[in-house]
Amino acid sequence: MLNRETLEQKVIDIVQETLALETPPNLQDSFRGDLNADSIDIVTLLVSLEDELGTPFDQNALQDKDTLISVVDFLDDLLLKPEKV
Amino acid sequence: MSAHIQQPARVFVSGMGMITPLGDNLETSWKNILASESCTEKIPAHWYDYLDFRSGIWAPLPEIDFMSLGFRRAETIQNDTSTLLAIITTHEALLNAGIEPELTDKKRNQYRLPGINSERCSVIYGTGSGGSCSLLTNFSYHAIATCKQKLSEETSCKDNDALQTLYHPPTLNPFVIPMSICNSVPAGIGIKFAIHSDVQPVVQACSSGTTAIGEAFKRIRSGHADLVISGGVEHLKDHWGASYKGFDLARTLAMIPESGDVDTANRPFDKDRTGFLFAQGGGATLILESEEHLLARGGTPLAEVVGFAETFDASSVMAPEPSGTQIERMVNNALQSADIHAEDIDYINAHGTGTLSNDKVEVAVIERVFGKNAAINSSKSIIGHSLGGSGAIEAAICALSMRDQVLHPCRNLDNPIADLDFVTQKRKMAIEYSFSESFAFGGHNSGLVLKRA
Repeated sequence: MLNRETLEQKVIDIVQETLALETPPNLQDSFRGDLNADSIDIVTLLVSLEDELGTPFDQNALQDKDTLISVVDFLDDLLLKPEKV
Repeated sequence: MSAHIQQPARVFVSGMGMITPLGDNLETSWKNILASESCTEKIPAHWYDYLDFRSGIWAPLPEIDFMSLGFRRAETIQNDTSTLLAIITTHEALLNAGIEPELTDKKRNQYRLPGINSERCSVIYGTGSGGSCSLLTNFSYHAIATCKQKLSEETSCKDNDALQTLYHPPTLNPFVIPMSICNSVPAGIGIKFAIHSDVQPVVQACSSGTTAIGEAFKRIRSGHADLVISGGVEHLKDHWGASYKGFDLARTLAMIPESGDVDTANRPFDKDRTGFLFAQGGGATLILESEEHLLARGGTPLAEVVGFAETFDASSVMAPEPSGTQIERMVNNALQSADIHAEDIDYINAHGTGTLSNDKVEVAVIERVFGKNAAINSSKSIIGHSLGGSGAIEAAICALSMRDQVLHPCRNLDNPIADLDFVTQKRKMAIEYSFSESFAFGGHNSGLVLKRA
């Protein structure tokens, strides 16, 4: 069951896997600043998240999201908010 | 100061890797090929949801779990299956050559080749269609997704079975272009193993693998490279059977006989042949090295590449030119390149597709050039036709045949179309020289002469 907590963990796991990080990233980490991600990494991350969550996103969805928490908030709005209404 | 004339370098095969419908590695494939195992199956049932098929059989590959083989998810997103298969056989070939790749970049999952000067190392690799299935799959999203969504919102269509067959992937892959282009195969190998000399695709349909190895041979013989990763690969499975349908429509594929026995459908050089057995894919990588480089690093030669030639029919995009004139010229040029005569060849690994026109022309040329002096088989009679991967697989089979001094049979060859020395049972024999030839849509003819190491 996807909820805010499991969503956060999925994003952390996918970012760690995609960027081959030794330790799990923090939700406040910046992709480009803290995690040294380039534009190809960001695109790969988008496809990995789509694959993991089974939902397509707007192709430009992650381009202006620079922290893990901003991605989680975006996915929360997309995937969880409708159920809360 | 006297002019120094450099002797052409001798070129050896030092490592091999292979994936075929009969095995996901070299030795398993070879063992099953020697045993003439069957790999013919009926095509996936859901392909008939889209169109009918004339042939209806194929040779599927073994299931391959790319993640369990060490690929990262990012690599499976960014690469077509053909590239991943080529990387797998390259890794196997490098290990077989005694070169253990060393991980240098965890994020990119990139390796270097210890003891190898990457600036003197090339990749020359064949593929017929590259990542065309990735293009097809992504195009299906482009063409179908919006329409399907609209139709599914129509009450009258909601439970429509036909609507469910309108398959498309859940999203467009932003890497679709680099996945699809034919140079993505050698580029994928070059990136994986950090190669810095020339990295070139050979796109020549069914002779791609043979010509790639021939070009690698020329590159080393002329002193322009010390080591070349060469070979060929193909992967043509899509959700709809669309790639398969193209060959089926062209009436090139083997038909199920009246008996219904799919195992006997594929029969190159037999009077009752009806076409070739389409393989889902496959390929092989051969590591070619100069003698000097091989000896310096203490490698072991598996076979020597001694000759290569290529000609072009300039006749038809689909069928060999009936007289076989350019095929014959290719064979004679390859023998001349190897500085040997036709009677020196002990074994011919024929193109041997099983189509009416190929086998007829090929046999006529073999009769004219070699007569009954050479033993002949067709690897496609056992593992089917893996198109751009086939020539490399067959060159590797020549090397394995010479290593083990044994030939695999030509499967289902009950009534040969000519009185030649076809191998119909596994045969132990002395093999010093072998010849592997491939012909391709477009009109390409290429052949390699290999010598026992």
